[in-house]
Amino acid sequence: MRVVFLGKGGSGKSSLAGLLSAELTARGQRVVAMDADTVPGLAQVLGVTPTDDWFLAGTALRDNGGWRLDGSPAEIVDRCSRESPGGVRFLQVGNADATLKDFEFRRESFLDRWSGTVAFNTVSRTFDDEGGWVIIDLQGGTLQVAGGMVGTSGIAVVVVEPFAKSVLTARRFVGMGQWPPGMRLVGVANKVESAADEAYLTTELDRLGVPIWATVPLDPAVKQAERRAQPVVTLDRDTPARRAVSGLADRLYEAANAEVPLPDAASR
Amino acid sequence: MTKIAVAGKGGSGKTTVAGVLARLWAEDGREVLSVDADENPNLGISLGLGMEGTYGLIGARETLLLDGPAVSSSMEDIVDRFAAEAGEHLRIVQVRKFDQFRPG
Repeated sequence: MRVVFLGKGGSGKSSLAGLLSAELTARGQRVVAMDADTVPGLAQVLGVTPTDDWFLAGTALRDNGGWRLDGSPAEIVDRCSRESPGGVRFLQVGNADATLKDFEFRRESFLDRWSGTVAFNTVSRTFDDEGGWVIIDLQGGTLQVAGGMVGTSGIAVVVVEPFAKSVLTARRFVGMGQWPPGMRLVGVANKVESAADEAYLTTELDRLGVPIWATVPLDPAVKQAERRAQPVVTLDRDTPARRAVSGLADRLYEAANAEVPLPDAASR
Repeated sequence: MTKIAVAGKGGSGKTTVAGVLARLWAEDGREVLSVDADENPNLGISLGLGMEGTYGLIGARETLLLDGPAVSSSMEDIVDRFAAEAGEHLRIVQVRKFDQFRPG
């Protein structure tokens, strides 16, 4: 199953993507987490030392300026991912620590080109086809979605805070026109502090036709972890945010079992 | 002319700070042009255009690119063509908008 996190900048995409990755791993699933955000934060959430972009090691430039995978998707995941302390395989696409001008050029070039998007989607789809979970953290806003990085199958989770700017961002995703037929757009209400927050998001997302699959309370433990630059996934599993993410995982399990054939599941 | 750029992480409050500065200066009687260069533009909300008004703003850059690769518009042309009124002495130009799936 592919699960793609979307939303406004700062809405909590990376934190929730990391918590979901840890939750699924703790349930015995094979998980690859991919950070495609150009302001990357998922490595921090998972407690992984940020790596070079996987495509620097995993792709090559063709003579015509397009990109191709330098090996099979499985080889590339093996070669380019890091394992988090909780057992999540992590692949970085954006890397804020890179200082090489050449790197910046290649990153922009990669993500702007359709061949780069195809390479990105090929790696994520292959792991999905093999019965694993692929959790993708996209950058805030609609740019990467419009460019095709949302892929063609799976669940797109838009993370929405109880503020107009965050709801407007969700509306932009809905208004983009025909979504790929294999993609389903669902919402997660995040940073919810009160019944009024919850009612506001229920009304607004209902108007957009986006079902809410989880409501995550504003969690002081998450805030404190992020303030101290501690991996959010090291939080106690009984904290409110983690419990809410566990509920999201339940919904995704249902969807995966209902909609995604897993031909290899019996033989593993 | 004074130019102010506001930068920071997503969700840190760039748009809110920019919107408040723009409105305060406009209230002082200065002519203010606010430019939303964010790929996920929300400045209209902070200026008071509301959800509908902000959603309806067009992307100057995307629209100009439709004119062809050799764009020679002056700053004045761009402002004339794309600026929306956001109050007395206050206008907004939105630079970007990605509101459709790009064909592969």
